[in-house]
Amino acid sequence: MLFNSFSFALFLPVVFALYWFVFNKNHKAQNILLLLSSYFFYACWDWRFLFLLIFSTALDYYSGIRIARATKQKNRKIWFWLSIGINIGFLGVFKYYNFFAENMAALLAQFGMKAHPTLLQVILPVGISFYTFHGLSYVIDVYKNRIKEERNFADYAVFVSFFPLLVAGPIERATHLLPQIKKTRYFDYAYAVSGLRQILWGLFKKIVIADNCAEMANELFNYTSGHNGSALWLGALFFTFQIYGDFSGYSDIALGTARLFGIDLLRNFAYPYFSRDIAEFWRRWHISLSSWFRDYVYIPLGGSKVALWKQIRNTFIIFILSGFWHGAQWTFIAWGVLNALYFMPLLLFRNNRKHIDIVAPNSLFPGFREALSIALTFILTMIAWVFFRAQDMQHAWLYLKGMFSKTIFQVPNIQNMPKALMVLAFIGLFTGIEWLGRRHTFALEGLTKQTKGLQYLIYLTLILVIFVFAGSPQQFIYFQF
Amino acid sequence: MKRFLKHTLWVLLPLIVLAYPLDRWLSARLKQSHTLANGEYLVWNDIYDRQINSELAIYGSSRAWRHFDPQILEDSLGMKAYNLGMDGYGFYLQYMRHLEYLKYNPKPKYIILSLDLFTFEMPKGLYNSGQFIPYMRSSAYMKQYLQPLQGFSVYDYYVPLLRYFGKKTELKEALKIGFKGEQQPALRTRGFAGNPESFNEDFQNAAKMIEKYTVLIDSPCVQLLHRFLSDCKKEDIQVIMVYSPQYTAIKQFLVGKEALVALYQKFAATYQIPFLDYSEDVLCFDQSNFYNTSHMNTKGATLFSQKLAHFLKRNTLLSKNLPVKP
Repeated sequence: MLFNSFSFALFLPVVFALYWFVFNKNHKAQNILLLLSSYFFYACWDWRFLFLLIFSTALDYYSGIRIARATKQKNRKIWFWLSIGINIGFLGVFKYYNFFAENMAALLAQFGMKAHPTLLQVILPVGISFYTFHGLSYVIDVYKNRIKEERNFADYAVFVSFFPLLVAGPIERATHLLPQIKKTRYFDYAYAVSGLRQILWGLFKKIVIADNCAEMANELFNYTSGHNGSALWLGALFFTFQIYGDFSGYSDIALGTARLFGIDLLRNFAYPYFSRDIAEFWRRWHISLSSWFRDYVYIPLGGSKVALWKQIRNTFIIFILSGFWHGAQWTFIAWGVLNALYFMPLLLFRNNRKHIDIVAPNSLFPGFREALSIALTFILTMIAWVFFRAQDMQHAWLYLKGMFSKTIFQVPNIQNMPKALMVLAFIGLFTGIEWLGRRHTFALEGLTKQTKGLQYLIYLTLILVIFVFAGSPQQFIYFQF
Repeated sequence: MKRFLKHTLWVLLPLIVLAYPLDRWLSARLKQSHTLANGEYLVWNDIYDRQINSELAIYGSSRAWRHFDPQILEDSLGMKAYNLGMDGYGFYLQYMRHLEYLKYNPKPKYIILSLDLFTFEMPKGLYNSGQFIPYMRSSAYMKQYLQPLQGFSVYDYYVPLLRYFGKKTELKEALKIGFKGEQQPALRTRGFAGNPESFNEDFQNAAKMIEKYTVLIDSPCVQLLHRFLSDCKKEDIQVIMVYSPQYTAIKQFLVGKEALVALYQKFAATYQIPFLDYSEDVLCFDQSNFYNTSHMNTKGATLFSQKLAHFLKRNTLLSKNLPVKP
């Protein structure tokens, strides 16, 4: 059940109505409803993996209790590592086993040894990286005494499986979400309207921006050798907006949906393409994952309070892990390494926390230097995305070679140029709206200041644009992770 | 909460109120298109408007509507002919069109079934899906045969306007016709459209990318052909299976054509119907008869239609013992 499907358009009002009109007297009953709805939502993908989700939830729930109850440090450790081991084990089996087996065989072959590893023919359970990270953060927080263990299974299960965030995040923290689940929630008109607005904006990003960009990016990435350098740059640009529209669109729909139920989820994107350096970009892109790695890996490794060479090591570890989290492919690792390399000058010159606030907070346009920094950061990001999108390393090199060839000065040889121009126009319009709304958590949030008539006109225009200019439907990219 | 529901309803109200009339308006305009979807609307309209009163019907894929000129067959055989060739689809959806055709029109005496490499291939998705949009909500057969294929969701068949979602080409065409009327000449005449183009270079480009094409024989399509031929026998409709010419150079890429032809011959023997195989005919060796490897241009189609008509006439179409080879 995709967020942009008619099935979800039926599912959401039904759950909403039951939540606020039938079970509104009792927040525990509301939680049970949310849990059952979330399991139904997940079962629509593949009901068999529902058992894996329930097992993973039960394991972390029980581990949390055993860790808290244990009087001896040894027992705490045993339960902690058991939970971590099984969680990572699931990820290892479903996501990384084939990668390691194939690469080990290739390595052995270098030494003249033949190995024929048994490869698993299993489908990756949707959302496994997301719900595993929910569970991991909870168990680590209980072990580190940052939070109290959760004794109510239903409440804990809603924290892990709440349907808006179940399959593609944001990756929540128990400290943020569990208290909201445990308390009584009241309907708030402004909050719910803001949720609907965010859903609408998310749908526009996904259906109009991402899906149209995907059609163009697919043409250029699937037939790389047939296109000249300028066309390949456009292809990279299309993918840059595809992945942003796709993932941030999904996050907007998730956050907006959660708001309809009176729940606030972690913000996942904060206008990353207006970043002035790569450090700022990573504070604004997939924030819930970046902060997860920061809190659970980077800081425990010493963070920035260790010697410089250790900081460099830690930075590389974080970026490589982040790349590897996306999938068992060398292209994702290369993407992580490249971002770490981008980060190095900032780290070495202690400039990585220079840009904390949004660009040009008090003026309409950025200054010349700021505009230049934004453009440079954007281009570097775009180049890194080539690795992310490429089928393998060979393809990535071929694509980059094409991008930096002399044919960059030719007219782009894109088959469907009128469509490319239309998509570019949408990208321009979208960037403009995002720029104007950059002071808010999402671009349309500022609409509250406008008159009702104008708000109404904007809603209808957006709905019309989505209806007419929808690209051919594409799976959300982050579902595969 | 009341305020929230009221305001949400106000935003959605125009969509809810307008969905049905807008759907009707768009569908009515789109049906008038003479060129979109390779002229398929013209054929569907003739089917649903009960306009096909022909003794001879031609079935098949794009090779049918590009190769078999009903006018030539009509002039030569002295019976009304209509070409129901369906762009881009094998027998699975040709059978659906056959059912719709018989539901609304008098049955023909004869059916020429154009066969090709793709006859038994199940569609992977919906190619040229726009052709179904104006009719799919009211057609039970379309619902039955299109639903297993990816392209439309189950809601598209029931919820007004939903199937127009993101269909820019169809929306643009409907609006254009709505405001200016249809100004293009009809692409097809009684289902047929010749293509005057000479051989294009797509073949060379495709040859670089595709090393081999393996003919697919999907059992649901084979079963449907059995059902179709049995039904025709019961209804006393004479079927003539024809494998129309394909450019000879395509042979180097093909794997499994012999097995396919053998299967066609088996069908012909089982149901005692003629199978005319023109896939090795002399017309296949002249590039000037084609605009690509599997489609004849106007010149080729004229020559082929004349040749076929002459053969059918000489051997008396009504005979059930026509020779297998022309």
